[in-house]
Amino acid sequence: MSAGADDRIFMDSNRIHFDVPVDPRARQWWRDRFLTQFGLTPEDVGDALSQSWPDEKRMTVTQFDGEAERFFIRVEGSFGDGDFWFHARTLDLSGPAINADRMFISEARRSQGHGRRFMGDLVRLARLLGIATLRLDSEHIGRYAWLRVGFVPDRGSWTRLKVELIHRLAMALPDLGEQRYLEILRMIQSPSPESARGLASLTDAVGSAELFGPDGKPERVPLGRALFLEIGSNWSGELDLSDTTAQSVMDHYIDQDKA
Amino acid sequence: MSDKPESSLARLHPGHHWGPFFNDPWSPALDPVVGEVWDRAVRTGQANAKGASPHEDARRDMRPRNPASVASSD
Repeated sequence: MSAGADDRIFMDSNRIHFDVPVDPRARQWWRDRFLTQFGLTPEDVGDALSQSWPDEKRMTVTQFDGEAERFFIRVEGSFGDGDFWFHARTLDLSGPAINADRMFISEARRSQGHGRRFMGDLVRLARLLGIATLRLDSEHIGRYAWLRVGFVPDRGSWTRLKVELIHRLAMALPDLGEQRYLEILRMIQSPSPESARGLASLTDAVGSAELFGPDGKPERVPLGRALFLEIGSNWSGELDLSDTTAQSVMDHYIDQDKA
Repeated sequence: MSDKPESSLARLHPGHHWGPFFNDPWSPALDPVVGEVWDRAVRTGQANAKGASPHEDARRDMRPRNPASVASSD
């Protein structure tokens, strides 16, 4: 490919927009790390990250830094009727890691497997590129849901979370009884963030701090969800695709369409 | 799963409406991985937690990450 033709992959088209200038160093970095090794253009990466979406999509690149080895791309598409989706990913080859920065799906289109398929697209790209670490910042329902697909909080988040988890657990003491309370307290006090998986799995019925029945009494909810959804803290964490346990959980999640 | 109407959940969990996930925080759809795969992940996490100490964690964090060696040790 000639230099001129090669450079066209860094120019705006009807599908991709570069919100930042792509300097010579960034171009060389891309050629070395993506084009030569994998035959991938920036647009190809956007397509790979949304491979499960066969319809039209629009991509915007907002960071393209050859020195920091970071490439941030947002991909979006429309369901029609005003419903839409987008996700934003950062390829951080200094890590190396892929950050799943954001994902949004219009409310009416959720629970139809779109988010799961987009996560599958991300995992496949990570494996193609030989990147084992996926990172994300969890928020809202994701504080529970991302745990259940294999992500675990990083150590800083875990340290912070533990304080709030202990507080929420204490609220459940009357429902749990002292012995069970102490068992779960030991799980929270673990130095290993992987304990979060066990905590999220707890099915002890406890009074919700947020959901109340018509009689004004707290609804009974599973403790695992109460612990992560009824506290204030979001968490940052990662999934290690080289870890067989995390890998099997994630594969089970993204392969559900095949089942 | 709660059988409450979604409008009630929306009022009580306003922040939960942003993102990709189904809005009902108590929906079984939020447990997409269950059964043996999940149980094994929990057991592994618990085993790792029992073996971990703050000092071991610190040492582990200082070691260079080598995905290949991690995979081969499993």
